[in-house]
Amino acid sequence: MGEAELIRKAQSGDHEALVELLRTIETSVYRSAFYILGNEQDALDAAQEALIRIYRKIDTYQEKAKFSTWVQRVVSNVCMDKFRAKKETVSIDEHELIIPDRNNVEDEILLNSLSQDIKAAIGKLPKQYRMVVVLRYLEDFSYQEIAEALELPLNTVKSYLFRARQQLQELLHDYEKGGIG
Amino acid sequence: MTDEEIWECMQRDLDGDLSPEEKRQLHDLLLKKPSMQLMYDRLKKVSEQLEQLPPVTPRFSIVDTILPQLESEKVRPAAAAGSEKEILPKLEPKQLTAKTSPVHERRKWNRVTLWTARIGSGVVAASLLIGLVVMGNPASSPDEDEYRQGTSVQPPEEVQPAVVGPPTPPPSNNPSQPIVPEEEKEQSQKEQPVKRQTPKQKTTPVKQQQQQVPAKTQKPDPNVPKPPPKPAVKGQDEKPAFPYGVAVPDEEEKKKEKEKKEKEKEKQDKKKDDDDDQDDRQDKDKDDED
Repeated sequence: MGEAELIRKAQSGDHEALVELLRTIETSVYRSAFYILGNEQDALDAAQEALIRIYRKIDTYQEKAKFSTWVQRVVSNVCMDKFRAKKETVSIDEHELIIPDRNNVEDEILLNSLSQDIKAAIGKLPKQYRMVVVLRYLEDFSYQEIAEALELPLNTVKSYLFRARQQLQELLHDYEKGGIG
Repeated sequence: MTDEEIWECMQRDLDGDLSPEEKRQLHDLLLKKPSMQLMYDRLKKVSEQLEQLPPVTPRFSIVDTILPQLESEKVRPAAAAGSEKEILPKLEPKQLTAKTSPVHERRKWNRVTLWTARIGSGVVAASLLIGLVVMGNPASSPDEDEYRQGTSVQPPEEVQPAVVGPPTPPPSNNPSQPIVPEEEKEQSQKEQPVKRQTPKQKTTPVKQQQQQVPAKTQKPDPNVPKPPPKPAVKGQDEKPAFPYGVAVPDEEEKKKEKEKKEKEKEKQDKKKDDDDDQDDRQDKDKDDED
C-alpha cells in the first residue's frame, strides 16, 4: 500500500492505516529530531510527541504539500517546543554549546571521526540553522520544501543554509587545526 | 562580481541551484581568485560531510511504545472526525453550566441575604418596640422587677420621703408614677418601720454618691421641684442602653435620671445638714452642760 493510500485511509478513520503510516515515517522523524536536538533521549521523546501529534492531526494534512514536508514541520515544532522548555535563549548569531550524550546510538556514529566532528559542529549551530541543515542534508529537502516545513521565507531559508555551511566550514577548519574541541 | 556574490553562487552551486551557464561563470571566476577557490573547496567538503552523515535509527520502534496511548485514543472518533472540533462543543456546555450555576447560587444567596436582612430588621424593630414599651414605664417596671428579685437596697430609697419629709411630687405625665407611691406605702407599712430605715440610709448614700459623681458637673438647680424618688439608677445598670437608636426615650430617660440624681443629691445634702444641725445642737448642749 502506497503512502498516498495510507494517508487517505488514515484520514478516513482507518486506525490500522494510520499506525502503518506512522511506522513508515518514524525513522525520518527520529533522525531529524536526533540531529536537531543532539542526543538520543531528547530525540526519542520528541519523536514520540511528533508521532502522537501526527496521529491526532492527520485530518488537518492537505495534499497541497508533500506529506514528508508536513511531517517535518511537526517535528520542527516539537523540537522548538523542546528548545523553549530548556530555555535555550541563544540568539541566531551566537553559537550554541550542546554537549552530546554519549550513548549507544551515538557511539556508532562516533566510530567515524569525520562524522564526530561534523556532528559536534552541527551541535554548535543556532537551532534555526541546525533545522535548515538537517532538512537539507538528512531529508534532502529543496529550499522551497524547507521554507514550507519551517514556515519561513525562501530567502531566509537560503540565508540560514549559507551561513550554517559557512559556520560549519569554519568550525571544521578549527577542528583540523586542533584549536577548538 | 563581488566576493559576496561569488560566495552566494558557491553556496547555490553546492545545492545544485545554478544553471549550467552560471556554473561555468563561477568556475571561471574561482580560477582567477585562489582565495575564493579555497573557500569553495572547504564549503564543498563540508557539504560532502553533511551528505555522509550516518542515518541514525531508533533502537526500538517508537510507534510500538506509543501504540497503547493511540489505542486508548481510538475510542474517540478517528482523526478524520476532528478531535479538536469535538472538544469544543463539550467545553461550551461546561462553560455555560459554569456560568449559569454561579448565577443560581448568587440568586439563592441574594434571597438568603434578603431574608436574613428582613429577619434581622424585624428583630431589631421588635427589640426597639420592647425597649419603648419597657422604657415607657421607667419608674414602675424597674421597681417591680427589683422587688420581685428581692433586692434590699432600693426599698429604703423609696420610703425615704417618709423619713425626710413628705416631698411635693411634681406633676408628671407618666402613668406609672401613681402606682409607685402606693406600692411604696404598702411595703413601707408592711415591712419597713421608720426606725429601720435610718441604718440602711447610711448605705445608700455611698452608692448614690459614687453614681452621682458625673452628675455633679451638672449644676443642680435647688429651685427645681423634687420629683418622687425613683430607683432608676440601679435600673439603668441592669438594663444598659437598651433602646439604641431611639432618640426620644433616651432623652426623656436622661432627663428623668438627671432629675432623680439632683433630687437625691438635694436629699443627701439636707440629710447632711440635718445631721450637722443635730451634731451642732448636741455639741452646744454638751458645751452648755460643760
